[in-house]
Amino acid sequence: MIGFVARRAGFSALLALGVSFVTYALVFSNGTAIARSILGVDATEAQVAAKAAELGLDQPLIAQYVEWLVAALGGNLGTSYFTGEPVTSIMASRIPVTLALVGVAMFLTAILSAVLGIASAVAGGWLDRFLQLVALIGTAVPNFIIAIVLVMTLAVGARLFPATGYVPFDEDPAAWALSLFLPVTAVVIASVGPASQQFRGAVKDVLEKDFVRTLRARGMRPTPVILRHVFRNAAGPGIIILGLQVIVLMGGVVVIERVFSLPGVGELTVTNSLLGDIPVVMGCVVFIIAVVIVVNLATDLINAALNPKVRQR
Amino acid sequence: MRISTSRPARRIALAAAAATIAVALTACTGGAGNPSAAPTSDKDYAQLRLASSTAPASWDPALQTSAFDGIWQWTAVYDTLLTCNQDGTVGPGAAEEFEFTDDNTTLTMTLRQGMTFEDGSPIDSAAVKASIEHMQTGGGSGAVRVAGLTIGAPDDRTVVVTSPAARGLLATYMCLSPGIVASPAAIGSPDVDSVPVSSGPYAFDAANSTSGSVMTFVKRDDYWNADAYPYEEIVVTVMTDVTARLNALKTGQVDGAGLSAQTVAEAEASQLAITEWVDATNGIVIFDRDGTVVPALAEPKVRQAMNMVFDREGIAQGLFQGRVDPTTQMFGPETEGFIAELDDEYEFDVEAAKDLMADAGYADGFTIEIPSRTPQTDQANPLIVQQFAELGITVTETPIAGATAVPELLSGRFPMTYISMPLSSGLWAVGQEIAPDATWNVKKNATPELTALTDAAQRAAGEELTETLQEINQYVVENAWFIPWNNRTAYFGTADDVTVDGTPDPYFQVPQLKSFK
Repeated sequence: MIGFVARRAGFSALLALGVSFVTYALVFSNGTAIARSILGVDATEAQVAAKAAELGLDQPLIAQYVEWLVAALGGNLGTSYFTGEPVTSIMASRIPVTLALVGVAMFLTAILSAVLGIASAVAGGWLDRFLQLVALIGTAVPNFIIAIVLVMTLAVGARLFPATGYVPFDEDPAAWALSLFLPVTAVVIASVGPASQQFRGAVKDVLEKDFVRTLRARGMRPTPVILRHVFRNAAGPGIIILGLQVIVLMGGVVVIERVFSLPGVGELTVTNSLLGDIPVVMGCVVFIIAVVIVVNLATDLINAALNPKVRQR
Repeated sequence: MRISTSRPARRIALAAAAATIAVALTACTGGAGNPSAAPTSDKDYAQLRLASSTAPASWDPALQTSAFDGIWQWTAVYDTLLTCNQDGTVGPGAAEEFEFTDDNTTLTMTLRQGMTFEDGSPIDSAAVKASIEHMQTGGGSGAVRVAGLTIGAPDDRTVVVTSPAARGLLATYMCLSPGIVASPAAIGSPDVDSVPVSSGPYAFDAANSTSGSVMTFVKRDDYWNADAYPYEEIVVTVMTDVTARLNALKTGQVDGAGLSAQTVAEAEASQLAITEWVDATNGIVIFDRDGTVVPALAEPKVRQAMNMVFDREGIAQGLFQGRVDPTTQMFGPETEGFIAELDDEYEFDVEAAKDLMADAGYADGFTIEIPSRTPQTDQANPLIVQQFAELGITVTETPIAGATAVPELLSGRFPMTYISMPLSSGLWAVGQEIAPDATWNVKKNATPELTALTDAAQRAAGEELTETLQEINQYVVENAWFIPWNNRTAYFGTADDVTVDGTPDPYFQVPQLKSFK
C-alpha cells in the first residue's frame, strides 16, 4: 500500500508541475497588455513599458515561471498586480467558500446517489423507471438553469432563502447553511443523476453474481447481503464517478458562484484571468491542482481499500 | 438471467427512497431563519448596502479609476480637492476656493482649515503636493492627466498647480482620482496597497470586511462635510453578475445597484426605483480616417455613405428595446457642443449612400476587418456586416478578448470598431476621441482646421468654449469621423426607502455616496 501511495504521489507531483507551467504560459499571453490593463487606456507607452519592467513582465516566460515556482515552493504565491494583496491572503478568504459549496454538495451527492442507486437496482419496477427518469432530467438540465429556477422560486418568490451572498460558518452557522442551501441544491440535483445511475448499474451487476445467490441460499437476510456484500463490491464505479464530478465541478463552479454571487475561487479565477492578474490566477490554479490531486488520491485509496486487485496495479 | 428481488429487499429499497425524499423535504422546510421574516429597518440611516459590479482594487490612491461603481471604494475613504456637480461643473471640495487662470494653465486652490486624516495628521498643502506628485509617478491611469504639472505650496493652505500648456479639464481632474488627498505617510508606506488612511467621509472597517467581496465603511464624524453623508455605515458587496444584483435588490439584500437595459424592465415590474441617465454613445468609431489600412476610408464621401446605411430608429427599437435615442453626433444632449440639428445629418438612405460610394470611386465596395468582442459587439457586428454589404463592403470579423483586447484596439490594427464611448463633457470628448493626441483617435488623425479648434477649446471658457466645441462637433459630423447610432442609457436601481438624489455627474457615471438619501 505504501508503494501504491508513493507511485500516485509522484505522478501527482509531475501533473502539478505540467499543469502549472501550461497555465502560466497561457495566462502570460502578453506582458505589455497586462501592464496596459493595470494602467488603463490613457497611459502612455512609456508608462506601460515601465510598469511591465517593474512587474518583470518583460522577462522571458521560462524565467518568470521558474521565479514564480521557486517562490511558490517556499509558500510565497506573490501579490496581486491590481490590489497589492498577498495571493495567499486572497485565497484564504475564497477557498472556504468553494470548499463548502463543493464539499457539502459532493457529500450529499454521494449519499443520495448511493441510496437512490441501490433503491433503483434492488426494487426494479416502477420505482426504478421513475428514478431513472428523474436521473435523466437531472443529468440533462444544466446546473445553472436549476440554479436560476431555484433563485426565482425559493429566493425571489417564496423568500425562503437568500438570493445571493455567503455567510462564513464561524460568523453564523445557521445563516451559513441558508446561504449554501440553494447553490448546493443546484449542484446536487445536477450531479446525483449520473452518479446514481453508476451506482444502480454496478449494484445490478453485482446482484447477478453467483456469490450473492449463494449468500441468499445460505439464508442470509437481504439487508446485510446488500449493504455488506453487494454495495461494497459495487462502490468502485460510483466512487470513480464522484471523484470525476468533483474535478468537473471545480471547472464549472464559477457559474454557480456567479448566479449566487458567492465569493469563491471560480469567480476569482475567471475575473483575474480576464484582467491578466497572473499571481492570483496561478494561486487559483495551485488550489485547483491540489483539489484534483487530493480527490484522485482519495478515490484511488478508497478503491484500493475496497478492492485488493487495485493495489496490485 | 433476471434476478428477481425478494419482498424484504423491495421494502429496503422503498424505505431508502422514502428516507431520501424525507431528507430532501426536511432540508426544504427546515430553516434556521427566514430572510423575508427579518424586520425591515426604519429610515434611520444606520447602514447603506450597495452591490458593486467592480472587484475591489488596490488602496493605493494612484491606482484608482474615475468611473463606474468602482469609485465607491475610494471616494469613501479619499477626499478630493474639488467636486464634480451633477451638471458637469466643478465645485469646492477639500479646497474651499479655487481659481483657474492664465488661459487654463494655472489652478490655485485654497484648502479648508482644520482638516485631518483618519490618523489625526493635518491635511495641508504639503500633503496635497505629495498626493499629486504620487499620482504622477504612481503608475496608475490618472497619471497621464497630471503629467507635466508643477505643484506649488506657497503656504499651508494654498496649492498652485501649473500646466506647461492649456489644459481645459485641469479643474475637472481635481474632482476625479488625480485630485485625491492622500496621506503622505500612507503613500510612503509599503502597506499603501492594503491599508487606506482616510481623508474622506468614511474609514475602512477591515474587521468587518471580506477580502475581494465585502467592504465596510464607517462614517467619520470629523470629516468637514459629514452632514452631506447621511449613512453611518456603508457596506459594498461585489456582485459581478447583473442578475445577481437585481435578485439581491428584489429580495432586500442590498439597497442599491447598477442595472442593465436587459434587466431594467424586470426591476420596474418589481417596483424598484430606477434612476436613469445617458452615459455613452453607441456606435462605430472609425480609426483609419487617413486610409493607411483601408484607403477608401480616407474619402469623406465613403464615411458619409457608411453613416447612411443604418436605420437608427430601427436599431433603437430592435436592438435596444426602444430605450435609447438615435443620434449622429458624439456630443451628448446635455453637454456643451451639442447641436440638435446635427442629428438629422445622416438619414437612412441606402440608394443615396450607394451614389456617394460611386462618386468616391468605390461603387464596388472594399474589404475591412473589424474586431469582435463578447458581449460588447455580439449584437452590433452582425448588423454591421449586413448593412455594409449593401454598399458592397465585405466585413471580416476578428475575435479579441481578455487583457489584450483594448491594447489591440489601440494598436491601430483595425480600421474601425463598434464601441460605447462614455459621454462626459464636450471638452472631455475632445480629449478622449477627437484631439490629435486623444486616446481613441488611434491613428492620430488631424487636420490643421480641426487641430486649431481643439487647441482653442483647451484655452477657452464659458460661451467661447461652447461655440468652439460646437464647431468641432460640426466638423467631425460633416466629415463623418464617426458612425454614432444612439445615446446609451444607464440604469441604477434602489429598493425600499433608499433614494438617489438627482442623476450621477457625467464623469463618475454612477451615484456618488453622498447622493444616497
